[in-house]
Amino acid sequence: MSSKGKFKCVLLMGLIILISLIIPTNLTFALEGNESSKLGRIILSDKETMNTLDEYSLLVSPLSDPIPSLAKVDWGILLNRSSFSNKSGGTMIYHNNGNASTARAEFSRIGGPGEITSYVNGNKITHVKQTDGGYLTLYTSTSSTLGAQRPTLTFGNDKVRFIGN
Amino acid sequence: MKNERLVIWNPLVNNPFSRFDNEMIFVKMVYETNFVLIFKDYRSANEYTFTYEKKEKPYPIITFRIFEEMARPDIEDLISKMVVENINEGRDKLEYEPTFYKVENSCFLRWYDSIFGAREVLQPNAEHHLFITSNFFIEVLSEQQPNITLEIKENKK
Repeated sequence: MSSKGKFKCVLLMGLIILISLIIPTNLTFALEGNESSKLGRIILSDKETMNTLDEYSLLVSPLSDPIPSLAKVDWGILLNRSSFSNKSGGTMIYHNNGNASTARAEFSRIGGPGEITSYVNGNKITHVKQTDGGYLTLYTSTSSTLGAQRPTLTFGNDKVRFIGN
Repeated sequence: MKNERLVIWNPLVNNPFSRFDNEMIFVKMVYETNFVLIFKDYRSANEYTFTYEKKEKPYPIITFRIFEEMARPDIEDLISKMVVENINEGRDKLEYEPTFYKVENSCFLRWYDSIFGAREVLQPNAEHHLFITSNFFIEVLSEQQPNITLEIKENKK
């Protein structure tokens, strides 16, 4: 749109805002009549005063791009450091050679500080962190050969299993 | 339950699966006349079909349940307990991570019996089978052993 057109749009928008503040918008009155007023009440239909939706859309400043989720960016970094293993249904499963400490560090890093709730069941704890991109969880699977911990992070449709010792 | 324990089950002759190294992918569950579970080996793309067949009894299985892996820390505890038992009894360390177990002194079966006590008379030989896939724990209560078929697929990887 040219700068001249933009100026006209801004001017029109300002006029409409001014009118909508002064006059009720469900039914538009040219002037509210009263006993002392010499002017009668003139009712205009909304169609004559309101722009169409398309016309309105030209007056509204376009929204800026949504701010990317910090957690999703951080999660992407983790996936880049992991290798794809398999896909089960809608879940993409990755393996990371890090160990339990790595998993805990990643859990802290992804999405920055956030509210964490821990759920204890016997010797196992599942941690759930609220991030700006959704819930991040950390839970622990068990190796049958070593009895070692195999922590797993889940976020969205992905799962990263830490298989290092 | 304190006495519940896992026993490794070997239903496959040449088992390619290992829980973390070659995860068993859950493909499909079908329950019409027979109860069917299909799993896939991601490396070879081969599919393993476990079929619990309807025979003399009205239904091929008693019941089943499926949980996302994260939701069963109790099963992880049972695995830990099994590892400790193996060490204490001087057994050799496992060379792979099992994906098939039978559960003794099953809490799942005990829960079922608490609702339907007649099971002990009607289906006295019920077993609890546990399948561990990459994403799910699938448990089946049945008197039967499943028939297993292997479908060899052309590897498209």
